[in-house]
Amino acid sequence: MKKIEELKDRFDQAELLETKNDKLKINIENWNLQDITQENLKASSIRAIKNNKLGANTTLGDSKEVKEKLIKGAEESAEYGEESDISFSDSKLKNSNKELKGEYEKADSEKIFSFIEEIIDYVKSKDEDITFDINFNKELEEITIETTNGGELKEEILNFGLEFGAPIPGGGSTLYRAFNQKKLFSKIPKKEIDDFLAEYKKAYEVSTPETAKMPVLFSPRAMYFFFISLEAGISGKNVFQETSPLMDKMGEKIFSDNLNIIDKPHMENAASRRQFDDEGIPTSKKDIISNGKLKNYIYDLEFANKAGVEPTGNGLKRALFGGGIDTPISPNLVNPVLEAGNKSKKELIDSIDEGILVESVIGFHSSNYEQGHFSVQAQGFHVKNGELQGRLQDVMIAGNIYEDFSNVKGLGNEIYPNMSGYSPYVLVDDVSVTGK
Amino acid sequence: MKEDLRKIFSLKKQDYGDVRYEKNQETEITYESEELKNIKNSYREGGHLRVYNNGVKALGSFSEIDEAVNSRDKLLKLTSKGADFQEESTKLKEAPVIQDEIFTEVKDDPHNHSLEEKKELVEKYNKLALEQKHIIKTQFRYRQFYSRRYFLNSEGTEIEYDLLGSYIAGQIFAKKDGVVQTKRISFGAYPEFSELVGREDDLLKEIEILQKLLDAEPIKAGSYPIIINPKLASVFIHEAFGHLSEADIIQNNPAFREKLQYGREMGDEILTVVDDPTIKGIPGHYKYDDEGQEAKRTELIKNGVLNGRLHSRETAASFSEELSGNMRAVDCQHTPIIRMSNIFIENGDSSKEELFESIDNGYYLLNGKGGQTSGDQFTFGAEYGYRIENGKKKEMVRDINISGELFSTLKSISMIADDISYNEVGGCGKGNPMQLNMFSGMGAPHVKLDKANIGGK
Repeated sequence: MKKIEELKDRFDQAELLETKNDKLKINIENWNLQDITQENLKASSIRAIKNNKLGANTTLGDSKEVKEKLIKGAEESAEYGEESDISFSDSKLKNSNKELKGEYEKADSEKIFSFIEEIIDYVKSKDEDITFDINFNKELEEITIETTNGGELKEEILNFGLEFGAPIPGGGSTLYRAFNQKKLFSKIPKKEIDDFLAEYKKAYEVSTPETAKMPVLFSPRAMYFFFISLEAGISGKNVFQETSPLMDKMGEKIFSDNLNIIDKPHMENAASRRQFDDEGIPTSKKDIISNGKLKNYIYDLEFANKAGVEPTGNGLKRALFGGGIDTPISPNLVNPVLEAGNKSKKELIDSIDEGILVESVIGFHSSNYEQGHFSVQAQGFHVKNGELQGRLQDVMIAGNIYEDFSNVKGLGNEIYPNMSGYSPYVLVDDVSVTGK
Repeated sequence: MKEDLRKIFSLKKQDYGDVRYEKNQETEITYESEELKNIKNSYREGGHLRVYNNGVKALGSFSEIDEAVNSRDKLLKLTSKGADFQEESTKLKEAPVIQDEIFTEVKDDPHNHSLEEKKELVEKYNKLALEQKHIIKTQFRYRQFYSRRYFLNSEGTEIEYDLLGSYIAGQIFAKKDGVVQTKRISFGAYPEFSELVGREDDLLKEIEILQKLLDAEPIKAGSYPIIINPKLASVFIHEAFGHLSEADIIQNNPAFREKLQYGREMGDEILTVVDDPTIKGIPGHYKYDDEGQEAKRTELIKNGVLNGRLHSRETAASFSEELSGNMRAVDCQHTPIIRMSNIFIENGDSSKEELFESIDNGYYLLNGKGGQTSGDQFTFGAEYGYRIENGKKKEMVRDINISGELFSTLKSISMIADDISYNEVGGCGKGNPMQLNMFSGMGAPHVKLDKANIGGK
């Protein structure tokens, strides 16, 4: 008997989410192969309503014992569960692409090793003295959702990821660049490697600015802390629970006019792209910030129901650090994109008399980030008269995104991925920097 | 099951191989304000294989035992592909062959308490918090994790062991005049369930601090002498130093290996830092690690001098150092990585009062609020603090983040009190993909730093 049929017999309503992944990861440290990881895992999650009470359970594995425990556990959970009047998805969406499995196999380890070798040879020809690391992965994920309301959704997502970097001289953090694609990379990113190596050369010396307010150029990689803070602000859950700093700000200007942020779940090549969320609600492109004005909150089924609005396809099993099958659903941006501007990275740096380029931030989660606060260690470079002077040491930046990002003076003309979404280089004026 | 797993390595196709099979039960109960958001007993089963062949390491997780042999063959194929690429081959330190079975001794096993009883306990704390003044939102989570593990390797080691721990962790939100402040609460049961019961007074004390935080001023950015309490000092030693004593972090970073050679002076002779998985009753206790090695105490810094490191068999071979038994995986889908067990700063011989008396203008900072390390750079938050003036504790401050560079910060430790305590609940995130380990303990006495960088506007 099909699992969903069995669930119909045992619950008033049920939703079954199953994920299956094939993954290959190759890890190069200091030019040398450190390890190769290959995994195949199956995981399941059930939410079910019985006598108006909501229960949930998750399992990893596929044995008979696992399957039995999944359903039994959901029954037990529903006995104690909170009353709920949500209706599980009735959408039908099958984006099954059989060719993807073939493409996953076609990008075999030989092709991948030769791609990695090409990067290594290129970097070595430019600078063989650095400690160079590469992380390469390919992953094919199959996500299936079935509900007793007739919901039937299936999607396969193929991703290739490349990250290369080097520990900052003296042993500090790692400078890196990251890329995602839905196909195996056809050529190595020479332009980005050159930019990376030029920047890295400036990291041998330490140069610390005086404590002051100054322009800060955030790299796309550093901008993830901004997305995470903003996500907490527009979360329909936090708005409903009245802890969001944006609860009465719909339509108001909260950032500079030049800031446009769009959730783009269907963006090609984005690693976190999705056709439907983890509740089987179809995803869609959504303006979050238009010309600095707040346009939309994001909702999962539960908080849409509570707030009396439609779910927005943002119910995801994601959390601050990762997430996964065990993570409860909450409203999350699927793939936020801060739209590019019209300045090159060089033009942005040229425009700084004295300031800093922040490549990464350390410790944002120790601040009250849900309210937009940040107080983080800045890793990056001191900039004077449009030139990188040397790497930052013991430098902190602090503020609140809702104040500081009203002062955006320029945006880079290309977007790059970070841990949360995509961003260009962002130049913000008058940020508090604690240095010497 | 055991017979099936033994077959994986019976043909000796590889230089070395090991497999860990786990059956894991997790209970979670979560309240968010008035609502019970999550109540479940979940189950995870699966295995993880590691194969070393031709000097190459390949790793893989699998869901079913039937797939294990197939998975081994895939890994072997990858090791031969990788061998062409590899310049330096990976070696393992020789280790004793162990055959053992060892399980947690527990008087008040959480499994003997019903789901209903646990729910009522969390509900009680949650309700008590919600009744207090200015409290607008709560999150309380009970988590209980039991992992039954079976490890075997191609050298003949076979160990059956387990891990058991529970905790209640809460985050409470208070709001007054538009200001929202939060405070974390954590009660740990490693492994005795009774440790979680009857904690109402502890909870109310924490809420009182949160209520006061609403009226506190943000700390002023700058560089000050500070005293950090045991909860914060333990986060500091874990984040800033502990991660760099994990050999896999520095294994392939020549600059760091050079910097962190045994005998290097790390701080004043009053400073001794230890990692010790043999201490029972706190989160990082275990008998064997997930690489089949026996757990042991390691003195990482002894009287100010770098003296030890946390190792896997691979890094111990690479560094030509002693095995330490610190390879741990949080769950069956993860590979073991080097983790601290219980890390702590040893008691000094000053009193807490003497630490205060030594400061004219500085801060007393309390409780960790998340931290992050990147190389020798670290940042961590403190939940709250007090200004110190002429040795006296003054008004409360909030919004505190401390950052710095490891080596200079360790050297600025000038006084250590004699009042060590261990955190009830551990926790540490490391790895890619991130492995959040609840079996990670830490401790410290009060510690004085002559100079620390504090962020703020």
